[in-house]
Amino acid sequence: MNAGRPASTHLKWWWLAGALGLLIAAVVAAALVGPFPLSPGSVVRSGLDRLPFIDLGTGLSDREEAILWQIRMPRIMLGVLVGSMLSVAGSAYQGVFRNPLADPYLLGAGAGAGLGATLAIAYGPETTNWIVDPLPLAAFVGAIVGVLLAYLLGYSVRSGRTAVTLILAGVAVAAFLTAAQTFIQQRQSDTLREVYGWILGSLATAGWGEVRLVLPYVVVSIVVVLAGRRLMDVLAVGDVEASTLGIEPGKVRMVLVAFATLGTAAVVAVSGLIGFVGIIVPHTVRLLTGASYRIIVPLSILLGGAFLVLADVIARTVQSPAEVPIGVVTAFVGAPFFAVVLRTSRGVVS
Amino acid sequence: MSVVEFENVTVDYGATVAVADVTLRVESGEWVGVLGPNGAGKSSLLRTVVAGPLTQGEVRVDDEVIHEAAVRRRARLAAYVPQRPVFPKGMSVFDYVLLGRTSHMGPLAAESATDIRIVWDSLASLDLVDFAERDVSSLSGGETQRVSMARVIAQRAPVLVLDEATAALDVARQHQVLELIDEVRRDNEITVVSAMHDLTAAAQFCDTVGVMDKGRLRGVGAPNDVLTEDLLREVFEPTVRVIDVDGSRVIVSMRDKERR
Repeated sequence: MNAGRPASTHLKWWWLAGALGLLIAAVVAAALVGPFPLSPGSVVRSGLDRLPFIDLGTGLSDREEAILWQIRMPRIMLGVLVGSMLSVAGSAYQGVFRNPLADPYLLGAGAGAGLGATLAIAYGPETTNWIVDPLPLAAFVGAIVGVLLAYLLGYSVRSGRTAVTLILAGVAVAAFLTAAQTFIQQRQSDTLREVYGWILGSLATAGWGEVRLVLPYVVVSIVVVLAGRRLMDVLAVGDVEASTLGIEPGKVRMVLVAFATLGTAAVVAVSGLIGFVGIIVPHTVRLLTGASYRIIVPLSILLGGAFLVLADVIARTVQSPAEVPIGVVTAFVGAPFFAVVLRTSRGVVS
Repeated sequence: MSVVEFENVTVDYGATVAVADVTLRVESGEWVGVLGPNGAGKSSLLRTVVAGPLTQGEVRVDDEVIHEAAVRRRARLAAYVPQRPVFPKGMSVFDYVLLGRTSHMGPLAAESATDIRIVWDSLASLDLVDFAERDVSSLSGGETQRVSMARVIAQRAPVLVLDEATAALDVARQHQVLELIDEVRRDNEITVVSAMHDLTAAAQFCDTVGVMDKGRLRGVGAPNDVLTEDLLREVFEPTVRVIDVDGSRVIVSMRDKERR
């Protein structure tokens, strides 16, 4: 008699190892690339030297150390966190809504964050001397409020509190908030450029502050979605059958959306509205490995981080010293790559 | 084995009353067929066993009130196969049958070795072991019926609620599926409540039939007692004929002689 799962339904260790290897390779490559060249050997040694119980000496000058650890690494780590978070949130949204087009901004998180950020930029007080920048806070609150509004609207629909009514409520809320945001943006034309730049997203950092700020949200959010990945497979048979199998679809959906949104709001607050990651990464994994969220979620964490770190390398190098908005890169590079995967894959689209 | 009791069950959707004051007792290990024309309220009545909408009354499985039980507990009392089950694209047959174990796992836990073994056993009992890695959405009609039943077996619920499981099948395939359900019922000592369209098949497979019309239960009992021309002509149409073949009722709708 067979003892375990059939081989093809496993999360195979070499997929995990491969994805992890890709993430590490992306991080190392990003650490090497920049206007000031660093040698690969000393970067790796400097990294290992920072691990506990290892003392190699780095061979980097103080200036090189500062470039690596105070300028490049915070930005790379932020890229890992933002990329992982948006990919995981995307997979969670796709799972709970059984909709391959769902992304983390579906229920108004993106539009809400955009409105919050625009308000802060256009009407906020002069903040250069403030200890805490109100812009991320405004974007964070905006994202949460957007999704809350969508949920309240969706739940007030009398004919049924289904996934579809929730999506439609999200579409309405997002359209309304975007309209408000655009209106304010056009009235305050002196801040137009700043607002526009924020919306297109950037991983530019001023040090480790942003990383420390979003890390707890991202960790909690990812842990919850990971824990719920099997329940997303149950949701795949629809709410009626899922409830007869022993779960409460509405509750599962609400918890997963809540935590996916919390993490999304946190990363959006510091990096702006980076698009496309939340759709392309989970989908690529799905096309390569099959439709089970037991496999999609963990691989999306690793590959999402790798993808965004590499996208950021392009964003900060092609027009150096100027930067291309990273949202442009994710779409410009991601779309053709996705098209190739789509054409060559024998996997599942929806 | 478990007893299912409907007590004064009413399902009112506002505009329409789908089920009106139905009281019915299904004995342990019995197969009860719920019959009646389209829109009679069969599906709504069946859904109440798995905590579907209920306006008044009570549904109990072994004295446990379904609508008061926790969702996981309910799934351990009754399994449900809808008219058109969803077979998600890209999901393996193994993973699909494993869904039946959901109520036996902790909400956030992974499947145990026991769950895996039960899935293999369920697949084996329906000759589906070779299908374990196949995409569940790519199977033929007959194969999906077996996969559905495998999930039901894995769920290990003492009651099975079947909403017209054979609606889309040809006459021979339908017969095979009903035999399969009967086998599963006997092997696993399951009580079956099923909505059916084919009255002749119901007469052969069900221990008891209940005929519904406009939400009301018009007759309950052994098929040969209930499936009479008088009742069926009233509930369906005046053209219904009941014929005896080898002691079982055959129900057909005959065209008017003059129009043939």
